[in-house]
Amino acid sequence: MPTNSKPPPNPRRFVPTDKSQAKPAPTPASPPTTPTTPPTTPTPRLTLYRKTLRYLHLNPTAPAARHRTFSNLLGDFLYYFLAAGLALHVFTKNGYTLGQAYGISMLPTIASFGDWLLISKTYRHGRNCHVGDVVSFRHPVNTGSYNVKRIVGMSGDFVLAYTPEEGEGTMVQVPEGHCWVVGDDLKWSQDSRMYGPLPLALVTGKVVAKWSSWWRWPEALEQGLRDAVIEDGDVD
Amino acid sequence: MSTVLTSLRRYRRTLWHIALPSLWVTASAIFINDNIMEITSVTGDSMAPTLSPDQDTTGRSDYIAWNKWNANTSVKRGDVVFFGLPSRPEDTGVKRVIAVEGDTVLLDPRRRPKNGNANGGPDVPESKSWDAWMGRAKVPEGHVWVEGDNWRKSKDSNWYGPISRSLILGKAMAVVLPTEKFGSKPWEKFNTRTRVVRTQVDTRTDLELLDALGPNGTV
Repeated sequence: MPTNSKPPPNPRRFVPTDKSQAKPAPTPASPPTTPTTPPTTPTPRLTLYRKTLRYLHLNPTAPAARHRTFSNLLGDFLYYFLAAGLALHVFTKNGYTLGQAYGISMLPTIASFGDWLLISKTYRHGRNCHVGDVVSFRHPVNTGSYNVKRIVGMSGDFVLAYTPEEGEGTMVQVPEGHCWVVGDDLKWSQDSRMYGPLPLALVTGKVVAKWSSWWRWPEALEQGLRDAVIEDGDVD
Repeated sequence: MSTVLTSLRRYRRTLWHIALPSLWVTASAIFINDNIMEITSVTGDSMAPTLSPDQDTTGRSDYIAWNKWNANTSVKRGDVVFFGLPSRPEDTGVKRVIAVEGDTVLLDPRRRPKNGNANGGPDVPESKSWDAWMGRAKVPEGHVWVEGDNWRKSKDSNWYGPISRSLILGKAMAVVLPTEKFGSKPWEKFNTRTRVVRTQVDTRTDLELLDALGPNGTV
C-alpha cells in the first residue's frame, strides 16, 4: 500500500476545540494596535493565481480552523440537506418515484388505500408504453391531479368507446399522440370513457410495482392482458 | 493498472474539488429548469411577427424565458404559453391562450384548417371537425383554447381542438435573445381578432346572487 495516500482534507471538517483557549470571537471595542514585533518573513502578495489555488484547495497548506459552533453545524446541515434535495429531485423526475394510491377505480389490482406504487419515469410521455401497462398521468380535466389507469389502446388502435354491454358498442380510433386509458374497476372508474383519449404528453410514468404492506416485498403488476375466452352460458 | 491508480490518487483532490462544484451546478440547473424557469427557442412562424419574426429570412429564432412556477394553475386569456403538443408527445408548442374553460370561442373563418397557404387550398380532415363546431366552440372544463398570432400559418386549437390545461408547462416571462430585445415582452400589445364569449362569473357576484336569493333559495 503506498504510504502517501491520505484522503483530501475536507474543507468542512472541524478542528477539535481546545476548551482552555479563549473564544474565537474578536473582543469588541478594542482599538487597533500596532504589532509589537514585526513579522520576520514578508507575507507573499495574494495574486489571482494564488487566490485561485487557495479557492480550489490545491495548495498544500491546511485550511483555516473551523470550530464546531452551532452556526457551522447549521450550515453543514443546510449544505447536505440542499444537496440531498437536488439529487432527489433529479432522481424522482427522471428515474423512479414512490407514490401513494387511493381510490377504488383500479380494484382489484391496486387497493383502495395504503398501496405504494413504484413509478418508473423512464416511460414518461408514453415512451415504450404498450397496451396493458398501468401508467400514471396528469389528469386532463382536474388540473394538478395525478391518476393511475391502464392503457387499453395506443395511437391508431380501435377501442370500445363505452363500457361493454352498455351503449351501442361504438368503437373509436385513438388519434395520433394519444392513448385510451381505462380503470380496472369498470363500474367505478372515471377514465377515457368519460373524458376521451388521453394525450401521451400527460403521461408521467409507468407503474412497475406496488408495495402493499411494509412486511412484504413489492410485487410487480400483472400485464393485464389475458387470452380471449368464450363464455358459454347455456346449460347443457 | 497500478500507474493508473497512482495517477488517479494524485489527482483525486483536484477531481474532488472540480467535480463536486460542477455536480452542484448541474443539479441546481436541472432543478431551476424543471420548476422555476426554462429558456427555449421559438421555432416556426405560427407566432410571427410577435415572436421569431426573422426566422424565415435570417434563420434566427427568438429565445424566451418561461415561468414554470404554477404555470398551469394561473393561466389567463392573452398569455403566451409553452405546452406539450397533443399530437406529438415529445415536442412542445408555443401559442397564445384565447379562451379558458367555460368560454365559447366564436371561430374565426380565416383560421379554418386547410392545406396550403392562406389564399385557400384543399380541405384536410381537420376541416371537417372544425366545421362540426358550427362556428361556436365551447371550451370544456380543465381545457384552454390556444391560437397562434399568425393566422395564415398556425396549427392551433382550430386544428386539434381545445387542449388540456395540464399540458401547459410554462408562461412567457420575457425575451432573452436576440440581445436587442432582451427583457421585452412583445406579446403584450397584440389584440386577437377571435371573439370569445366569456362565461366565467366572478365569485363576488356569485355570492351576491346567493344573498339576493334569500334564505329559501328563491328570489
